[in-house]
Amino acid sequence: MISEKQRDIVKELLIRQGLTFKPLLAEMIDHTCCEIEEKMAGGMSFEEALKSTLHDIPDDHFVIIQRDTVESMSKRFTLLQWLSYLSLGLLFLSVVFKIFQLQFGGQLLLLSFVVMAVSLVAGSVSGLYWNRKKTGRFNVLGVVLGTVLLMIGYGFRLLHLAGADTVVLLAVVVTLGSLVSNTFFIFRHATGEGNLLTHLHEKYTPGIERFLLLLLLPLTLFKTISIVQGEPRFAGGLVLLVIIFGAGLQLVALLWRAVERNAVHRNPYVLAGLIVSFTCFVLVFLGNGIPVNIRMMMIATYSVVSAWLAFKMEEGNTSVSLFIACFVPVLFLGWAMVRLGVIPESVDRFIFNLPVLILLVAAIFLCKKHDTMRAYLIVFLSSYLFEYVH
Amino acid sequence: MLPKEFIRGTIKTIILKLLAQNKKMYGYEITQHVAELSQKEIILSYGALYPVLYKLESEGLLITTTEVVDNRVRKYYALTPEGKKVAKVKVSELQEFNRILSSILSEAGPRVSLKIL
Repeated sequence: MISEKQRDIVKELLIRQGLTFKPLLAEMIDHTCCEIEEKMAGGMSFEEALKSTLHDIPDDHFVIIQRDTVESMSKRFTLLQWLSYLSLGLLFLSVVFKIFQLQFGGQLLLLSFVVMAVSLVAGSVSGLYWNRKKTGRFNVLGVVLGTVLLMIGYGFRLLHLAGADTVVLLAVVVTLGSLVSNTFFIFRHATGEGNLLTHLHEKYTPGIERFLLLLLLPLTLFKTISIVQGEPRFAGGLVLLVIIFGAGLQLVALLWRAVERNAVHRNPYVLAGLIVSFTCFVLVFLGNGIPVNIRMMMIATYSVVSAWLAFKMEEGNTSVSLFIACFVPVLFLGWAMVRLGVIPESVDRFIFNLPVLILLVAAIFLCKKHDTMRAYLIVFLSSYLFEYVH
Repeated sequence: MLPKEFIRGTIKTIILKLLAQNKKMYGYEITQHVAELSQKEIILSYGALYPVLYKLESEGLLITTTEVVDNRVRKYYALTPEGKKVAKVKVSELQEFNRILSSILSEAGPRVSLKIL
């Protein structure tokens, strides 16, 4: 059997050869290690076996396999992709309509919520159908139902309809329930084998991240222009909330997967951290249902705990990750203290300014290969834009 | 070793057949089984095997489970009920084709006709 260190050497080699699609990377590591082990059983050293295994593999072979593999899977996702891009387009259009104060901006936003909900339901139903043997159907349904209810609740708020708060409360309860349930499932089952929620998330991860970034980056540009022009109004507030919620759930799912992959993370501190982090995150969406001071403390707590988790779960974390894990919580602790009146309001300009905004955007690009830290940054760049009042 | 063009069109059926005989298998195990059964005449490369496995999975013919074995994640493939049906059909189609091909290539000349002609 090859050691963990030797496995990491194989992993590094495969990544250097261009393998980035994680499900395939994991399989290639196992396949290559099996071949190496067989050669080592025949008397070769690890180095000789590794050299011999990789010797006959042509350049770019893994990149080609990756391309063929992704292409072979792509047909199934076409309808879902179309629905996702349609909701993305509608979200943008609603922001543009609001900027130019045109009619039907609100209706467009509601329509985008409906399409997004259909896309979510369609994706999860097909996932449930194709993976009938995996466990955790109710957790998948819980997260999807919670998200859809939240969109309905916020839609009701937009239209000033009665019952909005009740629907949002229901959404928060359902989402929290399924997050807690799936977290305990992951900690109880040693390998996370058969967990449908993380299985589906793994497949949809590139699409989810693309969707969030395609929404966030233009909004960041809009916001930057409005800051430069001294325009106090910003039309993209609700869309930012969509990004925050999506990226927050993405972060939770990435943390779950890290726990599944590495038994070292399966400890009471991480369990407590996860529960504290997503409880603070989800409860904030209740809005006025929770006093504003408590909400601020929850956001500050979330920024600290989730930074710790995101940094801890990173494989081969870098100085950039460390910087983000320290800088963002300091930023949001400062923000909370200003708003709570603990420190003077004048500190606000040191927190909210263009250089910090640019730094956060740059960090997103620098964290290209660090999934959890990137998801964390998407949550907090969106929150930063949301809170940036000038 | 057999030329690649002979193998390419039959990989899907070979995988389905192997998985019909074995409850669940992982990638390396499949290549080893194929090499052993074909007396090393068919060696499935990474590039030949994995895109087909992912395609079969995305078509709902295979179901996967993962396990941590020797400190690494191992993905096992198994047939879905639909996959079992398709495996039977594909194997019998290939057997029929093989029979026709043998007949054509035999010295006695063809004794059967290809319906598609």
